[in-house]
Amino acid sequence: MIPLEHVILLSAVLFGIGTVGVLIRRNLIAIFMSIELMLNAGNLAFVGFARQYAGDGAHAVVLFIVVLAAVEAAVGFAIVVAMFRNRGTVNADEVNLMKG
Amino acid sequence: MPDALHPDNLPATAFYLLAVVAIVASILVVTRRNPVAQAMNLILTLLSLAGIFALLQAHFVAAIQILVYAGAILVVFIFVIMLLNLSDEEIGPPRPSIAKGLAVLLVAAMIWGAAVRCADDVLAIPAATLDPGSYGTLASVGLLIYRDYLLAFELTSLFILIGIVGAVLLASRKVSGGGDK
Repeated sequence: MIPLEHVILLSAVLFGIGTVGVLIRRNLIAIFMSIELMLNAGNLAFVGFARQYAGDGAHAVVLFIVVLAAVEAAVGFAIVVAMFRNRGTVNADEVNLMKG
Repeated sequence: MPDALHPDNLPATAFYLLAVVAIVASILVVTRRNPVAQAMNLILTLLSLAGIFALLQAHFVAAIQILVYAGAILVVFIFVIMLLNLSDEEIGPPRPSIAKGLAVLLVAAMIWGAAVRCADDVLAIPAATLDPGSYGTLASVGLLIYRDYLLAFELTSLFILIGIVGAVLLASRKVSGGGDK
């Protein structure tokens, strides 16, 4: 039997690593990968709690999160490709079109 | 752990092994400079998480994790990495170490604070007994999707459609007025 608190701790650690990745990386592809890590940490927490409560409703939610991650990756990479063609960079710090 | 290989403890042992793999691989995802190396480590993280899902009786979710996540979504990542073929200078210089250290400290403090606040609540949840025959199977989760979450499931198709249209629109045209700085 795997203790729930260890599952949640692993989820928190993975989420933290993902957050650090979003904060410290400038490369947009790396930032997307960090966001995927954070989404997966959320999935892990859902599955862990579902096991503890013996209800698998959260498994359906996890499926929706996977769909969300796929759409997010598609739209996000469309933005990255458009940005790379127009600005020649994937550096998040150099994208300041919205800055006044 | 002397009893780590005892049949009763095998799931827990596998969980801790997979957890270590997931943490190490995810740290490599965040720290490696080469995008392909990052993507490979992300696959390793996703696969070990799929193993953990299976250990937590979420069999269908584990299968979807491998098929959709490690399969389809990572292919999109690899495809974009290949398409852009970034050189070292296009990736740009890394952030200064002081900023990195500050970010790590900040996030560690955040996680620690959350852990301290929620530890009692998490520990207080009693373990319910589940039916190992039906819990987390395709039949059980499929019934949930097509009955209890039918509206959300149908809206998901609309969501994907909007995503496709948005992605095609964004990637296919030149944005005018870009490039000025």
